[in-house]
Amino acid sequence: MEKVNPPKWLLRFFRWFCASELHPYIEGDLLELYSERLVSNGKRKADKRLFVDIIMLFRPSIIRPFKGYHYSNNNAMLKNYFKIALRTLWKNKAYSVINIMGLAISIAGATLLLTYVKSELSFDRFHSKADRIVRPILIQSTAEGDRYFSSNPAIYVQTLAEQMPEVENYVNLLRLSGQFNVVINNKPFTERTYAITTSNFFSVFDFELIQGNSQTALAEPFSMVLSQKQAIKFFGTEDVLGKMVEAPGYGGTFKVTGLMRDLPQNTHVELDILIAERTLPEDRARALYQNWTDFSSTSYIVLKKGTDLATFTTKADALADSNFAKAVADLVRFEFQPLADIHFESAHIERDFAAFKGDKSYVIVFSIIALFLIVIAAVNYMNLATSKAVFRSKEIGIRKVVGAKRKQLVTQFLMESFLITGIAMVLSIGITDLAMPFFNELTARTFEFNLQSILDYAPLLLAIAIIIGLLSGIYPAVFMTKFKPVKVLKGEETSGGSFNIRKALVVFQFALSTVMIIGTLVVSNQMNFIQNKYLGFNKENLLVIDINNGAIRPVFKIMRNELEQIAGVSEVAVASRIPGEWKNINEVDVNILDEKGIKKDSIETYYMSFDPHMLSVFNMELKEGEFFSGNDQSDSTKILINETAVKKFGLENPIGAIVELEGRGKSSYTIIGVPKDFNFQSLHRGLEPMVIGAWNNPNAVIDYFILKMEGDPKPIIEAASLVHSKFDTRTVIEYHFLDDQLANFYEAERQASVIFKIGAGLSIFISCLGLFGLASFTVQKRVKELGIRKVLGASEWSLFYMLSSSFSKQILLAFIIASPLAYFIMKKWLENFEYRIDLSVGVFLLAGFGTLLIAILTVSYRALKAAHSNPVQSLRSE
Amino acid sequence: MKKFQLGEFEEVVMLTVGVLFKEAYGVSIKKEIETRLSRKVSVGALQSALKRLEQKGYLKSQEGEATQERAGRPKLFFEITASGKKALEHNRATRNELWDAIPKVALDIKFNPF
Repeated sequence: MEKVNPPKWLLRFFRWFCASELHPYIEGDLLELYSERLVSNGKRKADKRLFVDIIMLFRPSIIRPFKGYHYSNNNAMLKNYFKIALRTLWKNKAYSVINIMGLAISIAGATLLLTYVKSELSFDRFHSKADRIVRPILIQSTAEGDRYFSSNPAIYVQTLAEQMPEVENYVNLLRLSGQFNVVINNKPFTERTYAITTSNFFSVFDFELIQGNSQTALAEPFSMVLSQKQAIKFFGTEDVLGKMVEAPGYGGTFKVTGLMRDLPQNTHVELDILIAERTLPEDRARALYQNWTDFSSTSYIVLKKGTDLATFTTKADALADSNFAKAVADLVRFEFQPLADIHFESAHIERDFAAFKGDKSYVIVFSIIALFLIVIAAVNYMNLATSKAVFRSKEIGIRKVVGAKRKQLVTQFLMESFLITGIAMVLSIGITDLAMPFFNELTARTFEFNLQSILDYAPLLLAIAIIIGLLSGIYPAVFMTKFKPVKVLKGEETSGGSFNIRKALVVFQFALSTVMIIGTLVVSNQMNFIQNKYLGFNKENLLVIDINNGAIRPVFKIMRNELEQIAGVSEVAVASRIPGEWKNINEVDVNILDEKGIKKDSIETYYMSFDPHMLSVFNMELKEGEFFSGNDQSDSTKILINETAVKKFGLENPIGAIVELEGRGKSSYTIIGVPKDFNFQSLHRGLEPMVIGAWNNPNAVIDYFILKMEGDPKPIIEAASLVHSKFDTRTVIEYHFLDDQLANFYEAERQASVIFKIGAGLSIFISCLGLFGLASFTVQKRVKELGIRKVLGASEWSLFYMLSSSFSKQILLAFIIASPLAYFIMKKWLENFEYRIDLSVGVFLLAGFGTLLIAILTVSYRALKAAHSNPVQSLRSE
Repeated sequence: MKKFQLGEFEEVVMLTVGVLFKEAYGVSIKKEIETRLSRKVSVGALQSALKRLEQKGYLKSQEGEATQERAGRPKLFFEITASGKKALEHNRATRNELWDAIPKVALDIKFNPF
């Protein structure tokens, strides 16, 4: 039986309202029902039903009576406040709609943003041992600074577990290559989300095995665990225990021994297939657990409770040093990264298993936007409520005269604000529900918002509503109840000092909106700039086909020729890595030789292999020298280096110079050409040195065909698939459009820019709603004044100017406050990019005038109507 | 006869308390009604009906034992009082009178709009 552990807050809430003499019995009933439902329906359902039951118990006969001698009076007064609040809402429909709409939109916006923030902050924290799991990070010192890898020798962790009592458990994850090719019912699949591991996977992490035995599922060679998603993909059913999966690359057939629940999306690893480590061939497995130079494993270690990470690190690092060869030990050291830090603090880590890396700055930005939205809507309410107060001053006066205490009046107005936020909250649930699919698309996540999950949202929504209710209610309540009854009833004006606060709030509100508008403009300009920047090569109309099968490589020339025959393909090139590469780029050590041929410097440099067609397919230009000739024999001893490399290597006459490449083997090469610099990585990074070798250079094997296309890509892809399946029967064709792939580099920025746009749009909309309401009240208050002015000869234009100028001044002031703030924030953001736009005055002016224009348009509807009206109408009656 | 007024749900609850005899407390009453009448009963509706009936004097309650699945909370057992029994009988009698008073034809009439 599961532990009976109902949500405490629900029971506390029940205890709070339930009549004390009934409480123990009813709570007993509830708990009894709860534990039954827990067994039959699970915790989630049971929680939900308990929630419903307790809400249904919230009825007069169960609620405890209001104590004290105020008993009947208070109760009746509360009812009366409620009634008055409803009547006020109904009477001032425009005012109510503005407030409720503004609040509902802002609550919905904030809910969406906070959902994202919550999910980001929850990464990897759901494991029961989450606070004790760490992973070793290898730090390698290089001349350019430290480099970080999330990998280590498997034997290292095994030795740690044997020799250090602090280690409770560990698991290794391993990939032999980027893809895992299988054949099921003669249908090939290429999968990337796999790992080779042991049964410990299920004891270190809390991932759940639905079918199969978590102790033994991965014990035997050629056993395999699939996720639900993967089972459906492979077999169309989740009933997969005992099914066979052929994997020619592993020389055998796997048997499915387990089905695991799909990994939740707030997990840093993306895994759908687990393969038993014992499947590895003898020599490979021996290398793993005997060889201190095999850095291919990623490990997760569970530490015993109370282990001090710093002490552990020192001891573990010393243990590594004593086992490594001296040369290695001097260069590397280990750090241990806590599981919960992986999501946000892995941007610098290479060869990482982590599929989604988070960015804390976006979490902060989204939280701030959420806060802005709430504050702007709350300010609306404050402004409208205080300016409306003038029209309600008589009511307040009378209440005071008949004996209302200030506290009671404050209660009354707070009740009104809570009623409004309450209605807005209910409305926001609907809006959130409608907006959720759209939001999911933007953030590429799958958040759920439906009846099932609404209970998860209840605390968040309630918290937001209570904050808004208090924030926006307290000021008007205190302000309005300050009125002196005698003055009010005599008809004297009572606005006074509050007017300045209202102005300040409008300024504040528009300053926030302006900051967001400037931000939006800068972000989208930067995105345009990046998307349109010439990278030094042509990126359009290029189709990249992966080589996922070693069988292709010996016959690639034949396949290349066949691909070139496809109608619409003008040329085909072959390369190991390409400009705009999204996978790891190989590196080699370039040894610079002096006149006598003795090594004087060694520089780690990016390396790619190109065939002779690359130059024209990518439309790259040569600064000097020549490209590969096509003669395999002579090309194989030649290389090209880019302009940055020329500078870095300190070569005055690069053409004809001889350098040594040390990577897979070591030999000398002649430099035959220097291509102009091109951005082969994302524009977050600057130009870096690169060496280009011929396709048959031993430092890398060819991995891609690149097709230069014209016209509709669809028939070309179909034809290419046919060619591919002729040469490669084991894998499915995997292709990418290079421009899409490049756009992926900036996916996080693209998402942020859309969210920025929406946030800015919403905040200016809500601010203008408020401004519209304020303008209406101003006109209403001054309607007689306007009539008299008009009778005395004021022109419509001068009246319009009079009404809108004060608002314009506030908005200009807001702009002046917002500009430096926005400048500072956006300058910081742009520093993320090596290539960035300048912050021009134009952007700021555009944002400023845009805001002003929108605001004037908002006000002008009311102002024009007032200026245009017939003075007889307003002056006729007193 | 205002003094014996019983709502439909109240009547169901009283009868169920009778059916369960010594075993009538919140959860058992709820389940009995749900299985016998196949209708949903919320804890709230049931508890307020029980409280109302007790105030009218038709039911009396008595504290029972506490069990583990109730986290030590006692059960409150209900019993029908003498006046409760009278009220039920009265209800039944008036119903019967009404049934008997319906002319035979009225029950045989087939629904025929025009």
